[in-house]
Amino acid sequence: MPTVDEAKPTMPVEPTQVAEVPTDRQIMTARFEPGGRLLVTAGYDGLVRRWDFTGEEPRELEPLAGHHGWIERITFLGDDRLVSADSWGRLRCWSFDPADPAGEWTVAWDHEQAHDGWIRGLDVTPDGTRVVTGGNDRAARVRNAADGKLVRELPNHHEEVHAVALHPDGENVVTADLRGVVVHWSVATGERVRAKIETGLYFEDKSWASPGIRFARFEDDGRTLVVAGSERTATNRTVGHPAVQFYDWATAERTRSLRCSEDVSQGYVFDLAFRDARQLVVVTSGQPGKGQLLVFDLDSLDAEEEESAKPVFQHTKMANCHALAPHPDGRRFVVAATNKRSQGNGAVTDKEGRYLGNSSPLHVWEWPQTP
Amino acid sequence: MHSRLCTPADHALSRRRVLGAFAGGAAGLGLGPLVRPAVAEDLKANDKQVLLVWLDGGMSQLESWDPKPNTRFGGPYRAIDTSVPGLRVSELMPKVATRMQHLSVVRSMKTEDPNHSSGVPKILRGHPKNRGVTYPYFGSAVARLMGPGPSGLPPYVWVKPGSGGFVSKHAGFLGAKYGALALGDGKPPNNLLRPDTIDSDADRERNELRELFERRYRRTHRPGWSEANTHVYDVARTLMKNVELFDESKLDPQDVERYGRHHLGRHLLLARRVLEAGVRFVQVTSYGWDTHGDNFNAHARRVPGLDQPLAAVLDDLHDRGMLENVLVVVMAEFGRTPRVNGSVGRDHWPNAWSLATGGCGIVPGQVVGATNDDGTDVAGTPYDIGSLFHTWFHALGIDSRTAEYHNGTQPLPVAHDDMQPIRELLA
Repeated sequence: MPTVDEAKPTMPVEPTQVAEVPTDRQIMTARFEPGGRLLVTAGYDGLVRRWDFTGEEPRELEPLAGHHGWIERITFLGDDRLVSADSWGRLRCWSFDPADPAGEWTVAWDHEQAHDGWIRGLDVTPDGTRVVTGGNDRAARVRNAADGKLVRELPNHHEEVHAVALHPDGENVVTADLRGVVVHWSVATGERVRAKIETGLYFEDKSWASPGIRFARFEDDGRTLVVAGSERTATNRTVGHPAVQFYDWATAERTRSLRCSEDVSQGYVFDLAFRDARQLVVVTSGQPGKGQLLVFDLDSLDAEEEESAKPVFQHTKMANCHALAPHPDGRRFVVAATNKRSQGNGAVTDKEGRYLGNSSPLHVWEWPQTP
Repeated sequence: MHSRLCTPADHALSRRRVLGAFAGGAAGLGLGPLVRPAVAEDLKANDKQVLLVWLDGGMSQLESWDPKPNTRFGGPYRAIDTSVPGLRVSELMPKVATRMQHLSVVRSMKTEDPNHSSGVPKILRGHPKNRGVTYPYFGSAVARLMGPGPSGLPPYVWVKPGSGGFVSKHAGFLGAKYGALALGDGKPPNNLLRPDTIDSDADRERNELRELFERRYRRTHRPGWSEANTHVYDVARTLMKNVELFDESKLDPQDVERYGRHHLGRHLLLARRVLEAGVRFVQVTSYGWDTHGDNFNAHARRVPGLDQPLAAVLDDLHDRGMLENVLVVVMAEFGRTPRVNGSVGRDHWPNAWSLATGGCGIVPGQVVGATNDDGTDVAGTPYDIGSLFHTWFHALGIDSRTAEYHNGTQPLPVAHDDMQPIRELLA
């Protein structure tokens, strides 16, 4: 788990929602540009959408086309590039002027078939030198972030790769697959380094297996591996306990296991962020209408309580939260949730008889000022 | 103890079902229910068969037969070319894509019921007009209209996960005899084989005693009440002669690999074998397609799980020359909504869904109908399930415009009398 400065006071934990920005499509991921002036979102429409956050109200800029299907993952590379990955296998690196992120974006490099099909996992090193991807083609690939050239192929996984994480050293990769199995790979050799970690974050019945891991990430300068998703309890429905697991990278031992809700209808942890070493912010999405914003104070959790951890803040009014984007100023964050009443059998139409789709309103939150 | 097909509780249920089915003064279970016995004799002589693959819960048309890539509701997957020029299916069906010359797709299914509990029986009964009777499921209808065929094997076999037994309720007003013999998890009925402790003489004596009891029972009860019960013993005896069908040790290991070791793979391989043995109608059910949540991960596993054994069985039926006489149907009670809910799922969608069918004279490689650009409605003429029943009956040699059931004095059409076959599918 992240190390803690014992003298540091605990930060206030009750954020306030200050705005809700409507959108016209569903969003899978959202990240702030390192300068904090742009929020970038992507999702079911295959567009990279940019939102100017410099004014009083977020303002959408011209979206960037070029992808297909869904874009599930984006990540910034340093302060002047963004990598986006889609469900048809395209991996694209965009370049922009950090002094004018709302200006023109160009394609730095592009791989139309970085994977054969859906890219599920994407991560970069903090120094912006390497990129790793994993996908439904049961492969992971490490690339040079400067030009996108392949550095290492990690093929032949037993199952679809649902999450990847690059260690800050750039030499070690973990992949997490459909069956919740985490594997540590050496970029230098392409070999598996040590025993697999069985997270148990998946569900299987006699015929089928359902994934439980949404992502993996190194924290604490690479000393901690965090994986998150769901302790699944049934297939086909998003039923399970949202869960976060922490592993000591040196030993691969699980040091903490957080069951974020006892309510199985809450489903998955879809995204998370550390506010500081002590506070973990997660967003969840479960059955239609079910979604939570949760803040956990990791220090206050006794080992005995961890199985069903109590959050220090809980908000249940947003439906099906799929993305969490902390602003670089540390004061704000955005949650991409789903419109209410998103489910329903048969045709749902408006008054003019037009078939209605769903969307992901952006909820803007503010943390209270630190005393 | 002699072999038996069902548990005592099953028998009790069957008797009750029979009682219910005949409570309204219905006819017996002979050839009577057909208005034209000569037609029935013709039908009995033909050797056509049916394989129905039932995807219970509702497979998404957008992740299978009617992909809409790069559209608002198209989902994450790509579409791929098939062996039929111009026909594309989801990338999740790569094997079937290369066998589409054997199948046709109806993309303009528009049915009424968005609920499982009422939608499943409506689709499986062909949703005829309401005449105050419970119509038979497709398998029971074919069993009644065409009979068991020369093999003597039960005419309607249902291969499914879970438990088995004799499922009389599928037969509706036809009477329990035309119910489904359900092979739970592809296994034969319990205690199918005679125990070693009972020799053939003892077995014969036991059956003679049972038949004596049956005759006594029949003297004081309506014939239909006992006939279904007798029928299951007859079925059991027939199955005992074909017990090798269930001997998995005799399976070709290559077949096992081609079909896959999962439920649907094992069950479709069994379906091919029982069709080869002469069973008239085989339904193979795959459960778990009701993907209100996590639709795309679920279909990423399930559709390939259909693709592999469906391609294998199409290959085998074609290679054996059986596809000319075996009608293949792949369908569910509805499709799934275009819009994706917050749970990353798709809900129930009877408004514009797809099914696939082929074999037995169905014109292959056809795409019947279409949906609009974003898949939210049928573009052009929609088809309800009644039209498909007319089409399938026609392919089986049954003139659905004239053939009728006879429920006592009540003549009943075998398919919806306001609907017609889909001519594009019939040569």
